[in-house]
Amino acid sequence: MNPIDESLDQQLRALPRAVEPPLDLWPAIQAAIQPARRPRWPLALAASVAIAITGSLYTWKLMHASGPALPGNLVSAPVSAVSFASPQQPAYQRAHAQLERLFRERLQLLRPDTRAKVEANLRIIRAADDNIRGALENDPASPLLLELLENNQQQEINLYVSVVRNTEPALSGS
Amino acid sequence: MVHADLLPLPDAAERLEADTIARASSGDHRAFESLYRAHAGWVFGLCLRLTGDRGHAQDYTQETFVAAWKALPKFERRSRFSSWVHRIAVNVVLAHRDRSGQKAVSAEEHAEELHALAEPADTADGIDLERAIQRLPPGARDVLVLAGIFGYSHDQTAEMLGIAAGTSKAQLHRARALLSSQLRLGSVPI
Repeated sequence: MNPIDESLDQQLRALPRAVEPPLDLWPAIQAAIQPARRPRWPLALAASVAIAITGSLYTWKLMHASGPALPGNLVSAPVSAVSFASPQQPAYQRAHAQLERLFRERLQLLRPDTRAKVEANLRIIRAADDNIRGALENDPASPLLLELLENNQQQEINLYVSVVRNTEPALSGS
Repeated sequence: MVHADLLPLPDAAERLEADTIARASSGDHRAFESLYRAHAGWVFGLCLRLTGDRGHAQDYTQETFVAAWKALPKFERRSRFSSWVHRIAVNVVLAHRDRSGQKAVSAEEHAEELHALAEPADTADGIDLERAIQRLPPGARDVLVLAGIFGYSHDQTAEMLGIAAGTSKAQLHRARALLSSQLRLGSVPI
């Protein structure tokens, strides 16, 4: 870098980057965000988990009618009663983890070729998730990308629930 | 060139901000207000320099934070919150520019106002520099603001503006040359 550029860069660095807005914009922002928030997909997950956990309890009862007690992780959480506000809330994340764990357990009950198909579908969903998140890096507030992400994550949940539901008859017949 | 905003926060501050972000993304307006208070100056400064218009900068700052609120549940901390919200601000400015086919340049009369709003007070050189920045063509000015003033790398600047990294470098060179010429620091071939 030549001396002219260095001098200019020093001057640029000396400029204040923060400039306080002449008005307090918060009241207008608060008014704009007030009605906008609706817990759409968390509710979908809550419903899904409630269904899945109910199914799980049913399965355990069938399998262990005279056997060991139900495992704590399936019995203790009253998941259907959880009210989620955001995917970043611990309650949401716990419910998601619980559903995924149940899905993984049930996956082992499927025929190998069916299991391979489900796993392939899950990989596609996860790859789409990565792609959308990558696009969101550049356009974090894009309504289209946010909706695509939400839809894609709901597909993942739907896949989990489908597997859990559809493994019930196989277990009860065994 | 790296500015303090882009450096890692100390652990405690980072944890505090992470906690505030988590609460805000759970719907806590007070937490989001603290994020707004902490970052509004930077966002307004960015919008003001990109648009050269105080009224637009206010509108776009407001729009940026409303968009950030909506997108916050998807914020995953792959980047710093400040970079993330700046990216939203740049997208808001560019979207308005696209929509209006806007001139977006040379609001010379705003340069002095911008300088007066900025803190701390500076010398006459600052006023001249702000004025000279506002005179730059939009492409060169956008890159100068992001890379030269806000300290983003050429890769980050290019991503934000939707241009190639090489174009970012070329625009910064052009911006420097034009500024040098305007400020009579010497002449650099454009």
